[in-house]
Amino acid sequence: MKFLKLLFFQFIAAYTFAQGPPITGDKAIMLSEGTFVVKTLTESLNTDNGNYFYAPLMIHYLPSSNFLAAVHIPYVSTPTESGLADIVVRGKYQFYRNDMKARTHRLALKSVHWIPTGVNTVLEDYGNGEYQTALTVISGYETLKHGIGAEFGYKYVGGDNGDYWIANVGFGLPLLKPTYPVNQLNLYFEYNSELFNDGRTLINYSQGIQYARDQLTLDLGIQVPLVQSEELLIQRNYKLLIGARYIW
Amino acid sequence: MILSIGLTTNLDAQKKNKQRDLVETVVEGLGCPFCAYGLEKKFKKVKGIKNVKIDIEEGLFSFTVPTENEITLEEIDQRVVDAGYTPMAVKITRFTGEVEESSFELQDVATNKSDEFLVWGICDMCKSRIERTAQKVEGIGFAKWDKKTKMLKIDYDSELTSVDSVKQALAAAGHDTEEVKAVDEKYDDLPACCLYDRDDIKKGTH
Repeated sequence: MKFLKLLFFQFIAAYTFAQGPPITGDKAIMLSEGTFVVKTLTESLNTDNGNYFYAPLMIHYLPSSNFLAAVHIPYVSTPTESGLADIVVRGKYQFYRNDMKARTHRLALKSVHWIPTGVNTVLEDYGNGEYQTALTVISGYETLKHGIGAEFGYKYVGGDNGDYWIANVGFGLPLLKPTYPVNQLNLYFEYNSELFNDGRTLINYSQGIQYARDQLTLDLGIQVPLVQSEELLIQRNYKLLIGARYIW
Repeated sequence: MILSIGLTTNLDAQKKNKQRDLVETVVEGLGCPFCAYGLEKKFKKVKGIKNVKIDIEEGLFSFTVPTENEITLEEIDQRVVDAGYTPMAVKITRFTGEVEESSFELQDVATNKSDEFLVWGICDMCKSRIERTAQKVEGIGFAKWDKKTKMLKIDYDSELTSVDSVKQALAAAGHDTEEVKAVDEKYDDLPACCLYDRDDIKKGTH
């Protein structure tokens, strides 16, 4: 209960000063029609079972300003094997937009599919040898001084591990005055949670820093579990994240 | 002789290329510097665009284009929409000094009449579109739409416009009123969140 209170107050506090796109989460605000984004967010996960390394090549394309199609082709290395992980295909449709001066509020629906093309890592996000799919709603409210991104939805997980609800919230603190051309340095605070139907829970906290200059963005972060049920198959210790994205 | 004609034509083209129109727009929805990138990207496709400036805090976006492009207010408006943002005002200062403007902000007109009527819509995007469309009609001094009651209140100069003109403009933007219906193509062009239930209109409920 204490933890939930802390989470709530951090959420409210963040609303008053945060701004920017999340590192581990997703955002409802999309770029212009015809935009390509190539990115990677390499993860080094330390668990009680050993180290996992996950490096996806992510290609995003916006055929219109309110629709995004993407494919992620990842490489994974586990304590026992390595190779191609499950290919991820995703689509995002922005169905609500309310623009105001120097601020905007958007809502989007996101569908993600994990195609069982890779090695079974036991970890759902990296591929467990089964088809998985998730449907989430993303909300993004951004101003030049305030902003927050939140995501809520449900993930169907093939196999025996069980489905779960997804609830993410991410916010950032801009350290430089927002200008154009882009020159941004942002601190990030993100919570990602997996709430299983059988009561198992995983809530991660991520702390990151992001530098963006023109069309290039660099991300660096660390993620630690805040709440982790003992019944989860793999117990996580920490995860290091390093990423880059280029848009054109 | 041929060389002389060729040089003259080339010189004419160069002269025309030096003649540039200044475009200034006010854009809503620029919540971060990357939004500005998305906006600029959409306009990079305009032939000969130069001197691009974006003030994200004020939502001011300006650039110059060769006069020979004959860029229009409607084209600029549409490009901003396609980039995923909301245009609030567009001004073109032609090379000749002639100024063209389309503003979605309140017109400075002396109003002498008020009216209120039903306009079908459903969300905040509808509200923005309905009010902007009404405000673009010449002679409208004030327009406010209530999402709950679906009533649009307008103050206008009856010498310059009429309620029917506003209803026609709204229908052209995809919004039905009791007397003037939007054609199906215009209704279908609305974003998914704006697709109000037309059955309610047939039943007379809202």
